[in-house]
Amino acid sequence: MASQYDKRTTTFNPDGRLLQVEYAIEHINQDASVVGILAKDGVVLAAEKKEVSKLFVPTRESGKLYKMDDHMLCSVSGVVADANFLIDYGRLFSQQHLYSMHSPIYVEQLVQHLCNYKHQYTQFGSSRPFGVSLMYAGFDRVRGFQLYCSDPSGNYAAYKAHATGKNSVGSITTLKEDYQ
Amino acid sequence: MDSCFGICGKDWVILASDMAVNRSIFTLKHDEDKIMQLNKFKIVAASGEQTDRYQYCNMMMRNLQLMEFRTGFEPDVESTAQFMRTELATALRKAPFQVNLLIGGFDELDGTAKMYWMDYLGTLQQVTKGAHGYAGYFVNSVLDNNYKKDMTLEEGIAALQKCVLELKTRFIINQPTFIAKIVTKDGVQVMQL
Repeated sequence: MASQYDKRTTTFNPDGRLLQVEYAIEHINQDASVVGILAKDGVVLAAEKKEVSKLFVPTRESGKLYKMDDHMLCSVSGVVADANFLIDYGRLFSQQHLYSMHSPIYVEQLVQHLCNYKHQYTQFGSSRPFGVSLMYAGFDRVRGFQLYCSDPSGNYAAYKAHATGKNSVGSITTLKEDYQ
Repeated sequence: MDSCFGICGKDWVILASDMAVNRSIFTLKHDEDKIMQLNKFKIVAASGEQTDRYQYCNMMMRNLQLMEFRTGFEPDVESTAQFMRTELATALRKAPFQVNLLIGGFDELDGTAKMYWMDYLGTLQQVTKGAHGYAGYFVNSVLDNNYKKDMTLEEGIAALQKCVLELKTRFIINQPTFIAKIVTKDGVQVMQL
């Protein structure tokens, strides 16, 4: 499938696909799995612990689940370095909102902001897209508990249940059958 | 010399201001509306430098509208007041807005009304009654005497009418007309005091 249309992130191929974005999604589908489920009274994100060498010293943050703000969590699937950057960006935006308006940012507002940022890397310049799928679990006064997922293209959607990473397709099929 | 004052009850808030625009010894206009409606449930009464008053309130209104388009909701009263304060405070050491404000609004989510007193330096305080300008000297005591917890909207209007009477009797500057805007769960209503 390697072709002359996948060298730059900013070109469509003749089939109308953005190959760089799809390759990024391929990478994510090889990372450890994360599952998110929205319940009436909360949201759960569960992440598979990656096998690491026994010489590895665990860091303060697990590498999969991060606190975005007091009312929001997110999970990471994909390139951890890219994810760190995005999470920091999201935390900054969240705190700027708190500084300016003294109230927690709406979950969807933050998701949109991060997605707008991710999307820029699919339209401008010669940098590759962020190879990360983030799942956001949060609460706000107006919409209550919410679960969102965004991918390298800058698309996001709200879900009742979702999965990213390895076997995400299988997980989603199971969730569709079993979710009530 | 704008007079601005207001009173806040449990689920209603009224802001009032005079309607005169004065320049040196002239009154240019008797029907200037100094209380801007920011969105469905929020109003701001501004006193001070005329262009700053209009510019600042307009900018706030449009920013809030943009926020509403982006997120789908109106921010609540406290967030709105804090946001307005942050904008004012940021401009303070660059190009200050010389406006003193009373912000009043109704929170749909918890059914309460709130009022905030803000001065041109970015001082913000939630209050149940307040005034700006010279009017404060006359009207603060009237508001103090007539305010009680859980008062009704009618009692609030009556209290403001007493304030207007006080100003008409004792304030050297003639302010013949006053406008009041009321925010309740049904939105904003306008009345002449």
